[in-house]
Amino acid sequence: MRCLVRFVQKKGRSLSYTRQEIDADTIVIGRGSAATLRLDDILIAPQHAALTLSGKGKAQLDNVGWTSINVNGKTTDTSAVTAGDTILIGGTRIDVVTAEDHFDFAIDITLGQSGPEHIAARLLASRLSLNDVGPSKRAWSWALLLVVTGLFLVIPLITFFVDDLRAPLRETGLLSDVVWDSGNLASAHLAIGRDCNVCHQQPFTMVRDDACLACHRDMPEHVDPQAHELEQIHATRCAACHKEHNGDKHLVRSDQRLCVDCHGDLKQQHPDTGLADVRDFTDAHSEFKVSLRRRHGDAFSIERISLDDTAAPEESSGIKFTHAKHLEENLRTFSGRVTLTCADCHTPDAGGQAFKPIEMETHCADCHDLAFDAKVPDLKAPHGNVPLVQQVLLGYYSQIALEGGYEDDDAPAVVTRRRRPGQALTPTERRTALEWARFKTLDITEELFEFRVCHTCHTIDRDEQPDQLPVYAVRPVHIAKPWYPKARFDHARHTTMVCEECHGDAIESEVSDDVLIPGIANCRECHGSENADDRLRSTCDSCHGFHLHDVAATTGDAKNH
Amino acid sequence: MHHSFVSHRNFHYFKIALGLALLSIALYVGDSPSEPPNGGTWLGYTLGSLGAVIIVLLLWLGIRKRSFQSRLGTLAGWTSSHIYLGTALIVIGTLHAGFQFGWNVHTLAYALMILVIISGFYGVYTYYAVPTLVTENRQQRSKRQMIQEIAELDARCLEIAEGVGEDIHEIVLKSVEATQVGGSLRHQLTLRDNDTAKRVLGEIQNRLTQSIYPAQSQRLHDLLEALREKFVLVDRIEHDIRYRGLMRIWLYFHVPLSVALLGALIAHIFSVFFYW
Repeated sequence: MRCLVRFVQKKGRSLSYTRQEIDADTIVIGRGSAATLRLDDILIAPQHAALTLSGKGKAQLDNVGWTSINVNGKTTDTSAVTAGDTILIGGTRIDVVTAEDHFDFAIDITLGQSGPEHIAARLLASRLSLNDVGPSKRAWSWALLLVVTGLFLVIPLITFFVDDLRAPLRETGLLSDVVWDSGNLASAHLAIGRDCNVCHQQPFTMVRDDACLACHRDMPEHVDPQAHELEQIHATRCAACHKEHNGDKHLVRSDQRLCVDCHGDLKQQHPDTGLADVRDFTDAHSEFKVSLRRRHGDAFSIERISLDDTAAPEESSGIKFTHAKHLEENLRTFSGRVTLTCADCHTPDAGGQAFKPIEMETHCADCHDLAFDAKVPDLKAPHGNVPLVQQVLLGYYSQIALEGGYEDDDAPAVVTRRRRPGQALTPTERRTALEWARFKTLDITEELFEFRVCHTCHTIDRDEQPDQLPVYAVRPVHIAKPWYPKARFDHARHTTMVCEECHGDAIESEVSDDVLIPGIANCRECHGSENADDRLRSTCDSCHGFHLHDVAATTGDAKNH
Repeated sequence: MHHSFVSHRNFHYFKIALGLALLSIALYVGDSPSEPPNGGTWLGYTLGSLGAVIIVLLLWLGIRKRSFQSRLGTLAGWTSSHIYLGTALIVIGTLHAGFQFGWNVHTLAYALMILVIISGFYGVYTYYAVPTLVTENRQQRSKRQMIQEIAELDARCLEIAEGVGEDIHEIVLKSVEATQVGGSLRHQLTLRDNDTAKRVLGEIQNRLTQSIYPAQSQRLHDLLEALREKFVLVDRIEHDIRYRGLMRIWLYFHVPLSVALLGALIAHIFSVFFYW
């Protein structure tokens, strides 16, 4: 094999070549004496690589030492080389070129930098600082900025503005405006789900009342907007008090300041108000006012009477009743001696908040017996219907009179005499019998209404009509209820107390006009304001509501600016 | 220099930052909002505005302090305010959030802020601990100078080795080729076990032990000395690259996370008022 080797040297801009011919099957390239092609490069091994001809212009390059060779930029131990390939060994460059006619193979050799320069250049080309590794801080910054603003600004905005994408994006959770959710909804609103725009309808606009009123229809106002020009209330948005995204606990604002901001100096702001200033339940809340019915002839009106008024408030319920008598020990009754307790008459209603009405038949009739004829003690006069009492009695005694056989010293013979069945009365006998029945009815109703059971509890008016039975009228009974219509009180939540702790006056109350409802001092024994440190902390809304159900429903029109 | 930013102007910025943090705590404790403490109360808006202003200020200062032409304060002053105000953000940001966290853009901004601050703490630590090590390690030589020295030592080793014999020359040449400094992120931040060095030194040491000719022994001895000197230098460069990597790697978190925080902050503020 004949190989042409040309050593290339740069002289200014021109190149000069020193030719060498080698005739060998294998050319050993190295620095040592045993090498066929000796290169004066300190970075080349004594015997570094072997070049074996495999055809015209083609050769096989093999690494024969421990060090590396590089062909066309790739480190290798063996490689086929041909014209155009570049081999790097140590600091020396070998270019395979096209072999001229009578040569089988040809290479150009360019000796490189000196040893130290080459080594230094290689080391300096290493990645020596973080700047040489991976993306720059600027690139990372841009990437993160794009990811964050894309995910948390652009996609949520697409969710809001592009109708077709809204639902599918919200399904994904992360890729939607759900990432703007600032906290859990109250459970009452969980059914809204991920549809932010049920409430947040317009960008950069606080949640409007009509969004709330779309579901909360007919919500009563605090005051009637028609009757009171109170901008402070009518211009306040629902969401000013009802703060969402705070979970369940704070959807309804219940702090004292909510009320005291206005009610603290209401009289100064609105001198014509009938309401007292209230700043704190512990020491700045007016005495309670009970609502009592006042009789004006046959009509009634409701009066609000403060329990601290000088004269003790009197109820005019229309019933005669003494708690003192009924609460005596060992009360004498038809069924023996009993001692009544409050609960014998006052039984909680279904919710336990208040009490069922007192019923004559249930609570009173055991003692206040409506039997009207000692001979038939189980037969009772009806309660609650005056004309019916007379009709029942007249019918009952007429039947007895016509049937006969009734034992009564004052009755005529036709009434007392026993008759055979089917024996007819003469017209005179009939008249005599029915007159007795009428007399008996008059006698018994007079006794019932004017002297015995009815009279005991009720005020009875008697009106005489010529040739008629007298007409009795029972004055209507109206027991005040609710006593405190402006507040809530739940007996069920006070079952740790006994009745006497609040209604202790009952045991001495002789008349039904006594108001046995406790005032604020009684509540203050246990309840204090929201800042109290020695009593149960209570806020205004523990007893009072904001949306008053006797006030017009809000429309929201005035509030949506 | 590094102590100066801590005690700069008699702890001027420390006092300002501490004052802001204590004021925020006092306002938070004294506030009794009608809802759970959160960014939407008046105090929440106030603390949020304060926090946002500080964040933007620190980002701006971060850019500004790199400008050496700037006459606006000293570098130590910038660094001092950057560190102390940044630390105060932990208090201000947490109280702004009212300790409410969730899987949303708002907590994302908070979390990024905390990560930026933590990475900044690491930066402060490296500014404290590492420069002394760099100075001690470099012995007043630049990296380029050390590399130049290595190259010259390599060339000298090869010359000596050539005089010893072809096999020794080849061993040394292999070790020259195998010498590496820096490299990937992992290589820059950790130190290599230099097995080649151990092997080469061991081999030369063996030859020295077996050598019976004084001239050969002298050459092997010189070779051994030159190789040791070279490997010490390689080790110094490796340490230098590592120290400088440690001093800079935190910035690869601090700076991009700061920019991400800016994005999250914009999204946070925008979203709050978009869905008011």
